[in-house]
Amino acid sequence: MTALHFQPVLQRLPFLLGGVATTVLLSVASFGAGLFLAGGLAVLRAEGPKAGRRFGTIYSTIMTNTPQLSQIFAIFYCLPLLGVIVSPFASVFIGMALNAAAYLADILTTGLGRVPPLYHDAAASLGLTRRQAYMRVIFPHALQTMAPALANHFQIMILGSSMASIFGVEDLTGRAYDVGSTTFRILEVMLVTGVLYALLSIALTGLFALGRRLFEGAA
Amino acid sequence: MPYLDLRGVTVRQDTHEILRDVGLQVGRGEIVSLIGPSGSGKSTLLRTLIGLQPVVSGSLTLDGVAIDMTAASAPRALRARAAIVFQQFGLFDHMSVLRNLTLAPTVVAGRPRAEVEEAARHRLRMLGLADKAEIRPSRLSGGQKQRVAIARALMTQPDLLLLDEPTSALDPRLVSEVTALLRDLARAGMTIIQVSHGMESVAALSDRIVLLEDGRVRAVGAGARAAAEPSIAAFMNAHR
Repeated sequence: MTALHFQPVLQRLPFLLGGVATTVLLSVASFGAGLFLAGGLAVLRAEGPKAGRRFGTIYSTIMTNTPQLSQIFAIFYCLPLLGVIVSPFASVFIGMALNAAAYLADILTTGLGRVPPLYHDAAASLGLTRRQAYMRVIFPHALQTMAPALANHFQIMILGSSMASIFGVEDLTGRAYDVGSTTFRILEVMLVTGVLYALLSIALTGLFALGRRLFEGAA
Repeated sequence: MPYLDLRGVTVRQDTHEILRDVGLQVGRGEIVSLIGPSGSGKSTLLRTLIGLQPVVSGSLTLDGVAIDMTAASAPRALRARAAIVFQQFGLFDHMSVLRNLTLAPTVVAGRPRAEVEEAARHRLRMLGLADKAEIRPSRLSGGQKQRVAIARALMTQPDLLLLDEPTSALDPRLVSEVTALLRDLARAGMTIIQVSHGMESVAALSDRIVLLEDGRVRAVGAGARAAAEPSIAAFMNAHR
């Protein structure tokens, strides 16, 4: 059995940590954008016109029944055909956000469905506008029931962001490949990368829980 | 000129008319009780007065200001003057009792949070709920929820208070407390319209009793002998 030598990999730890920053940026930004789009989709499904509800259903069906990788490839190659040149990072960000929107909209729809109907009337009777009612009452209340599912999906997105390396993005996995190809310590670099992903995932989901508490407190 | 003059309100759901050409005249500081069998349109009338129920036709003059009930601006105009306490309270469980009270004055009226919190704590103290400010409404008893719901409604400084079954969740001691509170509010000039099945409190509290049947006003009793109007007396005797 070949002995493990971590030294060459650990010497390049700062380089790998640079990849961690890209992974964090990609996961947080695409989750945030996905959540924003999902909010619109969920409200469209709950209160939109018939055509809007149908659009929401078709969108979800397409995005949740095709591989995310295919979706990102489609964006990566199709946008230039339309004359829109975007960086690999932006392609992956758009693809992840659009994909997340479909899944997160399902979670939001379930959460919103659990908000007592009287809350809408109570918020309106207090003079809150529709937007204020959603931001101050409906979403924060729904967040209580859907927070675990949202945290789960966020975690999946952190780990799933590793596919960005396929498109040449220098995220944690991308840089791990670089380190592996220069040190020939593939197993060691992947073990270290795995630990970094685990630490990152735990830290970000912890921050997610903190953010949730702050949002509820601010409502 | 009455404080509240409602005329010709018709509410339709699909092809069914829930309210038919309903009119109501109420003086300032009066306590009005809406009574009638289930499905007669009592709660719908309350919801209409706070703009939660779209109407087919109807007009309202509130303190001399005309409001077209069919206009898109009607809910906003109504909510600037009126507040409602729902039968199931509608307290928001993801926020504290205090935040339930301060939400509308800070978010809708834009008043400073510190000033509103002080006013809210004062109101909670007056209702014997000073120690409940920081807890969630789900941890309160039915009577406490009722008082918090009334306090929240009063925080918007309405001059028309609508209550759907205000005493149904209360034990007899609390019924008399809430009744006394409503009397004090009316004495201070607040107009109160309640839907109630509690005939004892209706008889004791009301300056005016309105009997609704099948979406129409069947009878109105006013003054000291409001409950003596024959149709009203018959209904109340049958439902005591």
